[in-house]
Amino acid sequence: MHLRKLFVVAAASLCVGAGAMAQTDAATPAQPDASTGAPAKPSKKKKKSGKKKSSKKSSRKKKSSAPAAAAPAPEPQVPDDGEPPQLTHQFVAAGVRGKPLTIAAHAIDANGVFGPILSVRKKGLGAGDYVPIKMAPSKIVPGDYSVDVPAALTNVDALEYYIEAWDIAGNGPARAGSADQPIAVTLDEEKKVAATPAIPTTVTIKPKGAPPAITHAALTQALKGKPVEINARLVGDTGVQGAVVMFRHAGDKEYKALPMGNIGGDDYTATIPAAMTTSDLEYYVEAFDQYGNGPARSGAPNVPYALRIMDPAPAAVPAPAPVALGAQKRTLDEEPERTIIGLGIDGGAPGGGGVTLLVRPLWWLRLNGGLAYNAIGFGYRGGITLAPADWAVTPTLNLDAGRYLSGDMTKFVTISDPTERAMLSKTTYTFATAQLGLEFGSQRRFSFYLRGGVTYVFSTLSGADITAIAAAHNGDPNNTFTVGDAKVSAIAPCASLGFNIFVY
Amino acid sequence: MRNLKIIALLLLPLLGCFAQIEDQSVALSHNLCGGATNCMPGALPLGLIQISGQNTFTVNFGDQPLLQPSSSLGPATLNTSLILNGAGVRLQSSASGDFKNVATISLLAAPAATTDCSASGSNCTLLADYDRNRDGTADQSIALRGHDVDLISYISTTSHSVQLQFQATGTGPGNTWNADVSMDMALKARANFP
Repeated sequence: MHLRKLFVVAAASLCVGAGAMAQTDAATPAQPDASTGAPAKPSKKKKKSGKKKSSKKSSRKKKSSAPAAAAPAPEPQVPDDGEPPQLTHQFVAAGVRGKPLTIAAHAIDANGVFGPILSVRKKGLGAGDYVPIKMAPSKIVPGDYSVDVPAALTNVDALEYYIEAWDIAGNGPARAGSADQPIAVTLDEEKKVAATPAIPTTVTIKPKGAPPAITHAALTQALKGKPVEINARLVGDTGVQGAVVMFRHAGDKEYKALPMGNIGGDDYTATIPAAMTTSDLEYYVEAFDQYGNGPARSGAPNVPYALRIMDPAPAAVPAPAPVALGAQKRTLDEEPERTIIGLGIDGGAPGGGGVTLLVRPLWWLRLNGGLAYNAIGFGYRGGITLAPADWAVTPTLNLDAGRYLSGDMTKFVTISDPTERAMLSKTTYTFATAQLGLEFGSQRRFSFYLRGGVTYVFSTLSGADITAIAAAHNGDPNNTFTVGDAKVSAIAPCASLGFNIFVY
Repeated sequence: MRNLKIIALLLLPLLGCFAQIEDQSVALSHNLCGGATNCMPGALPLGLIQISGQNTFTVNFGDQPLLQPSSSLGPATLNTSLILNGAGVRLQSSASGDFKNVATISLLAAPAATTDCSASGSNCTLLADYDRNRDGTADQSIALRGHDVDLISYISTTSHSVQLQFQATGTGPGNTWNADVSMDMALKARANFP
């Protein structure tokens, strides 16, 4: 038992030393077992050697310990199960060149686990070029081990590795990969990291941490020939790393990477150079945490933000201030079922009926314009409707104005006098209406409504026509009438009903 | 009680509702002598100006629409006003002379054809007047300043006419004369709801 302990201590020391030596260590043992100092099954030869070391150790203990320590305290006896540890590992197929590469594994054994030992080499080197690195146990999850392959080792095109683990009794090794069939890791440039394809094994190894959360107010416009500053707030419990703005000219295929710099707290920024703002751009923001989790993105390669490059005349329009997702203002613009164009048909008194085109620039605002008919004649009209909610029954405020052209009022007024008939047969008038209403249905598709309010009607009667009427009723030939234009106005109650249907 | 409240609520939109017609320029011109003849003697000191021997002259508006003090218009009542903004007297011919020696002249509404408005208790209403010192010397025409009197109440609802009288001081035109009397009025007819 003491012998095995000594082997473990020696192997651990070797592992740490070997890791520090990195890949230039030409003295790396050719045999993984030997290089890692893995505990071997007890043998007579090794027992002797072990006895020597044990006696030295015992003598040192004697110098500093109580006499009772001269006789080693009995250790808890765990029966040797004769089995190597159960080792599971999620293969790592890709990494970032020049960045630490985290490799994790899970190993358990009733006798306790020695290692695991990660052996890594540059792809293409010989079997003796593996660098052993001891994996560190997790302080949180028993059985989890991980190690960061130093950045100095990842500045190559590809790595190969395998993992071995023993139990304390020396059983093993259990392997993930092997010296002859190592696991290949492709190391790409930082911005071209592909999502690590996971080869599922019996146990899912959760990566440490999580990608940072990105809050970014998308820019929509910028000035041609001017630099564009792109800001984002990156918040991650496990740090932020590799924050970049990926951008390209609209129509290009490849993105260019623009590292973002920390400007204090969680705020990061990057500036697209003025030389690049020659035509419309597309971009997105991405970042990893320090363990490589991610990327977290605002925008995406296939759905980037469109940044329209304007001529210098108009000022750049800043994007709205970033807001938390839950506090975002509700607009139809952000809704998938947004509809902005529709048709309205209504009828009422005294306004008559109409067919109008509806346009909704804002979810709470509708504009309408179209034709009107009220049996006297045709006209045109337009207006706005405020619908401050999107409920099944929505209150509305409607303001309309319009003009009826050359209507024949004599359809409704019985007049025998030909001069009066002549005047009223070509009545034109302007109107303005204010109505409160209730709309039933969907503001996005179809709604039926009832409205009531007041209407203001204004018209001008020709002075010549009125003069003719006065002359016709003149009771004295010595009289002469001259009448100017008369203004006719009225404010009257009105009501209407109709429906709106939005089609686009 | 509840029903009354509902009815009142339903009628609420009617508050302030109205219909009206407004004409700020209704001019009526009337020839005093009823033709081209000069019916007034010249160079006479002016007092009550008699026309064809009558103290008053009659202006018949005719049976004009709206020229009723009030009339029903569906559920509403149509109220009409005809405000006299001003009046004028214009010589028909310059051969008659001029009005330079007219000191004052007043246009009055008289209750009867025989009324002399200069008499006390005549119950005449001053419609418009001219004062040479105030308005300047007249020549071929005299402009009388209106007193915003509503003529509607003076127009007979049966004959549609009004009796008018001129009271003047000074001296009239040197020769026989005739003149056109014009009245500039503002018509407003309004029906309020309910």
